Amino acid sequence: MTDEELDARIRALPEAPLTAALAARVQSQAGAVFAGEARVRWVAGIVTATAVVSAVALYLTWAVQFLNALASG
Amino acid sequence: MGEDAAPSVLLERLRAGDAAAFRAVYEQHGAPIFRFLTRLCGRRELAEDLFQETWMRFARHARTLRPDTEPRAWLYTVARNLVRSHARWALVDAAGVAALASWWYLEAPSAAPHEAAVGADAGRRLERALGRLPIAGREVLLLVAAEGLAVDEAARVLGITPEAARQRLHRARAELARCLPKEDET
Repeated sequence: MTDEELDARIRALPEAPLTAALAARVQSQAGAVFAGEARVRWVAGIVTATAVVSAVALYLTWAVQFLNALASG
Repeated sequence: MGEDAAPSVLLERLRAGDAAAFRAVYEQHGAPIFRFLTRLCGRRELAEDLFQETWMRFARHARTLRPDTEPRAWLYTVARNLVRSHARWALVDAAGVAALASWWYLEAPSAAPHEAAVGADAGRRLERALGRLPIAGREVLLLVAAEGLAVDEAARVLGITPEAARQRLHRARAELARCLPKEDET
């Protein structure tokens, strides 16, 4: 038996059917996780950006106050 | 909508969080991945669990895949690794194959009774012979022969070199061919 014949016999084996119910359930659950991940990453991005901007603003405020204190005193 | 898109385009859309791209990948690879899992592990119930876990992992990681990732290879890799790491592997290898024979052909489309019986017998023999192969040989054979992956792609899925995959495939085919006549005698 050649490799091609053997491969053809393997390909010709009956397939275990992916039932419509299972396919729909997995697609629904995985799709929800995918969408949830997208939302989580979007929110995480906003939170991170806000935190960075706040930290910079805080630092600049402190730096201005520090320089003012130096200048006045 | 996205079924015909090239893998790289689909991947870009996935990385951007496009739900339609996710559906397209699922429609494209869902059935093949399930077929691969059932043939590799030999138990439908287990295959269903691992199929779900494969897609949940894909859903969690799709947005962070590297730009050069091939979704098909990634899915087969995860599916294969899940089978490998499954705690019930010992049961899968032995009892699972026997269990497979009891349900597999019941759901096959039937032809004329005699032809169906002959075909089912041949199929069972091949399935049993496949089940007796070492897992390393079975997985490369299923990836290349049944799923149509190129040897290089199968090598990436298995985490081995293409040359090693070729050798493994050659050994698996030889082993399977050797098993089949013995099976025919029983």
